[in-house]
Amino acid sequence: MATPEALNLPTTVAREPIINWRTDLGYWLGRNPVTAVGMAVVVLLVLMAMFAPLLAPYDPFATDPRVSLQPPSWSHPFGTGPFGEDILSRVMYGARYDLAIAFGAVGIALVLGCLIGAVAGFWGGVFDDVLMRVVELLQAFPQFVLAMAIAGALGPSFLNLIIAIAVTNIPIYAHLMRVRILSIKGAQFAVAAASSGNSRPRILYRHLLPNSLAPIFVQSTLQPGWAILSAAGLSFIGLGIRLPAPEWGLMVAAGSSRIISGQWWISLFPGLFIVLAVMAFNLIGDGLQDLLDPQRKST
Amino acid sequence: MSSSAAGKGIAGMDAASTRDSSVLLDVRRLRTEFATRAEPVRVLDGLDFTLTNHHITGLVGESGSGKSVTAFSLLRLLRPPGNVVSGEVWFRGRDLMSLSEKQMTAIRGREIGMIFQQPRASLNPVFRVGDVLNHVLRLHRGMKGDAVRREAFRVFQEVGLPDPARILRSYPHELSGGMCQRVMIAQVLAGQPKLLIADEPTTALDVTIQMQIVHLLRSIRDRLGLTQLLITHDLGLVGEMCDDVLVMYAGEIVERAPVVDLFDQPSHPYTRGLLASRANRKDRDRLYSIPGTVPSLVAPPTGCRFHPRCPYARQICSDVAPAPEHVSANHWVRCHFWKDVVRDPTSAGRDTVAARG
Amino acid sequence: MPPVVEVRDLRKLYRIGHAFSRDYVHAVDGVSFAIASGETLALVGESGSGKSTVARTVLRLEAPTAGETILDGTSVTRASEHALRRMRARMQMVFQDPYDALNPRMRIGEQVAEPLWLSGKSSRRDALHQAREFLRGLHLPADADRRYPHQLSGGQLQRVGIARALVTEPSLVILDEPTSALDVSVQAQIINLLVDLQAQRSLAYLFISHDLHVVGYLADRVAVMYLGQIIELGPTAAIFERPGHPYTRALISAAPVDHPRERRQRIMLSGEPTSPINPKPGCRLATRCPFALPRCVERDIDLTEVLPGHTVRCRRFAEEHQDGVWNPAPTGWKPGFDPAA
Ligand SMILES: Nc1ncnc2c1ncn2[C@@H]1O[C@H](COP(=O)(O)OP(=O)(O)OP(=O)(O)O)[C@@H](O)[C@H]1O
Ligand SMILES: Nc1ncnc2c1ncn2[C@@H]1O[C@H](COP(=O)(O)OP(=O)(O)OP(=O)(O)O)[C@@H](O)[C@H]1O
Ligand code: SF4
Ligand SMILES: [Mg+2]
Ligand SMILES: [Mg+2]
Repeated sequence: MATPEALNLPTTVAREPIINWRTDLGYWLGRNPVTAVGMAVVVLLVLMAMFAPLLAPYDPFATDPRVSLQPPSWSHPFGTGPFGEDILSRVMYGARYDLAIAFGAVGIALVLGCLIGAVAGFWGGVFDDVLMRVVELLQAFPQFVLAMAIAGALGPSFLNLIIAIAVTNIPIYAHLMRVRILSIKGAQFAVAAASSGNSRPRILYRHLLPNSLAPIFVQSTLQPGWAILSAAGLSFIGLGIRLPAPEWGLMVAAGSSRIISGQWWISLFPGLFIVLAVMAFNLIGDGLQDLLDPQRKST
Repeated sequence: MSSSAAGKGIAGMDAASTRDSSVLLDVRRLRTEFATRAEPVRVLDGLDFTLTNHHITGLVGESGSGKSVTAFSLLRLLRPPGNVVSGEVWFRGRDLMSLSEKQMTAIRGREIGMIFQQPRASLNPVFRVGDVLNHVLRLHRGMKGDAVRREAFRVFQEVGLPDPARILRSYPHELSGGMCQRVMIAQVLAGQPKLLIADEPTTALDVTIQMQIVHLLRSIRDRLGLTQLLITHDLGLVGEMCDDVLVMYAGEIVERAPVVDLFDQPSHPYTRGLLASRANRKDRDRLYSIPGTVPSLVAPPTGCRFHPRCPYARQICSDVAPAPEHVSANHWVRCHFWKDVVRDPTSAGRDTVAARG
Repeated sequence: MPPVVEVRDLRKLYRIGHAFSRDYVHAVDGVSFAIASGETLALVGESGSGKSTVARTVLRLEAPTAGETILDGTSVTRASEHALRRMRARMQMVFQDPYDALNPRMRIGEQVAEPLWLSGKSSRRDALHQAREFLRGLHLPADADRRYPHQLSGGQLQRVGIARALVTEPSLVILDEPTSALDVSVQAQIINLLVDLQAQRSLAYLFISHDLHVVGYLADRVAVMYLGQIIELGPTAAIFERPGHPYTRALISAAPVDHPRERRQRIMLSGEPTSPINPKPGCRLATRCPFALPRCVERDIDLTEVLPGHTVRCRRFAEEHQDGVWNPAPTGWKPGFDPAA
């Protein structure tokens, strides 16, 4: 720790940059147009979800046998489904489901994962052994298989889908947090906090946690993309939400059998939105990682 | 050396440079900038100095004054955003700044060696230290077979490494910091360079080990006549081993003098302040402390860069940058009022300024 | 006058390797000292000799393996967790690297106020107010309490660190290399500040440093550590002018000169320090000491008072000195090279 070797390194050791979001974000986005695009897409998707009732030309659940299975046209830009439902309106409402799943699952995983990782890293010993064994157990299965098992066991519903995806995401945050806490709990400011009379829990939540969250938030911008993909996948195989809910993955599944018979639009448009959302989240995550770790790019 | 290189750089100021053979390195108007979001930051602003052959020259200054950037600029090792914008560095008849990268690579290691503050970090952890040394001997000295082994052994003995046979077979992590620094010095010596640049070579080491390395470098100068540029922030170290001293402040050399002259008659207010602020057991008076803080190089003060902190400053100091003036043959200083400084009987103007903590 | 702090036979061992390993780093191995109010005891020694570990265990920032700290007559070591947190206000620490010692994401004012209100000395609101006043008294920018650490310079941050340590009016302050990360011109400011504050409040300082010039300037007494043990403790003048232990002699002699004219020949230790893992009995310097003899490694050596208030842990010195004077010749003997073996 405080060896003389730690001295005098202003030009060789990179401290984690302190980012002032208000002043630095605009500048940095200007130099990373790709990330800016990702952010713009996410913002647009969120707006679309919020204002779906205003934007959608039709009721997403309304059926109209007269216009069933119509290809894209001016009145139905994304075409219609087998019951005459408007695909565009369903895609717009679908953003509500998929974004809710993405943010909900990531939020729950973030909170639980960080808690587990922080406690394990900070108290160590038995806590560390038990908690991290449990986490490793979760990791022993491929992520999607685990999500399938949980969703299957809980039964198909919106809430269970969120829980299934959240649980499979916990290990990532738990590990990240644990490593981060381990690396800063010996820092001088943590020792100084103890010598100021902070109790152990207060050292953790008031001093260590705020200094651990930046890399975790970056990670959590990468995860929603993955969560949307899993949600779509689970719904596709029938373990997620049920029809007629306009969830993107479910819509892809519903239309998949009709691709051969030429009605490609039923699956294509919701599928495109899945790709768009996943890519947008990943672009943001990648960009933020570069911001926090400028060296990453050069290596 | 090409004296046709125009300009009235500092070269003419150092008496030594009139006898060409005694100057090993002649730096003229060296400018180094770092690109930033806004204006580039000019870290070195027209540096002028010479290194005398067979002397150890100390480069002292506070953190951020540009010492390491100077060393990296001389060797053209600066990486972006850093960049040498202009200037010449004359070394044995050639301007290093105008050489090709290939020629420069040949000079590094062969003619100019460099050692750093973090000895272990600058040794490659995956090679045995002996392998690296053998490589240097084959590459730079064209040695072969048994001669390599004998020479490696000899160099290790020369830097005072105990049990050279064992250490040649060790990896850096098996050696202490002091030993790693000796290995670094041995690797440099193996190339038989004409100049050694040492950037804070002892800062990371223990007091007693520090003194061993200082003595080693000093004895290398005495025995082999190796010219050295010693970068440090420690005036004690300068007093201990240097022949000449360059004092750096905010990207400029403000004073240059033979070491005894510098301690006897510091002529720049900053040098005086540094010398006076040192703690001493025998004099427990309140310590002098230079008021204010080191300026940012982004917007350095106008005129004399030291003027906001200087007890001798007057109007002209903030308007006009002082040119170097001779105090004696080998001693020059950049200060409008150096004569006042020299005449001032109080040390560092201890009474001139209210030196409140 | 009773001492402010008394440390008795402090030990700290770190197990290395697996959980049942019998290898221990003897980081601190039986350290005892006392400091009176208004007094500065300097702790010097080789890197890794255990100085920072002494600091942490004296303050019980880490539990000592054995030994005890008595602060103002009460035991720090035996206090309950709750009582300990209240005692923290009376014993504080200043750290080496001012950038590292402050929480980068907490306002300066809050960090300085913490020890005040956490010890129950004042309400949180009063504490913030007192912190602001205190910072002002140290010539920091008027809005320093509202800033974050990266908005101040190194010297300013070290003042903040000092403010945090002193705002609770402690009786003991441990300073772990408080100036070594600072620039030459800033060091003097901080040292002056420390001297002033000590004079105003009769603080007891435990001052850990590598810089012998600063130690000579500040300390009343000096304790020299080598591989976990204090090997010499005495008044500053005695340590600098008549060092007894061979390691102290080498250390003092390694201090850089004040002036190039004073360059001199030095006593140099050969070799490197031995490992602090399971040290062998006998003198721990024996492998490097120029004056070592077989009897130096026969058994562990105690600190012996050689002159009033001046103790040395060297068997030959204790046996051979006359009124603190001992001028041995190098022996050339090293343990392990015994021809009989
Ligand atoms: N990569 C960089 N980008 C921008 N500025 C830099 C960079 N490296 C150095 N600088 C600037 O150059 C100046 C000089 O730095 P340098 O490392 O030479 O100082 P130094 O005198 O060696 O200090 P120290 O004693 O701390 O080693 C500093 O003010 C620093 O801000
Ligand atoms: N948590 C730890 N686990 C194991 N060993 C430790 C631990 N902390 C310190 N040590 C060891 O204890 C010894 C004393 O370390 P300490 O940091 O107290 O030395 P120091 O005298 O303060 O050194 P420095 O001058 O470099 O600051 C060292 O050998 C170190 O490696
Ligand atoms: S030129 Fe002026 S400001 Fe600069 S050092 Fe001399 S007196 Fe001070
Ligand atoms: Mg440097
Ligand atoms: Mg320490």
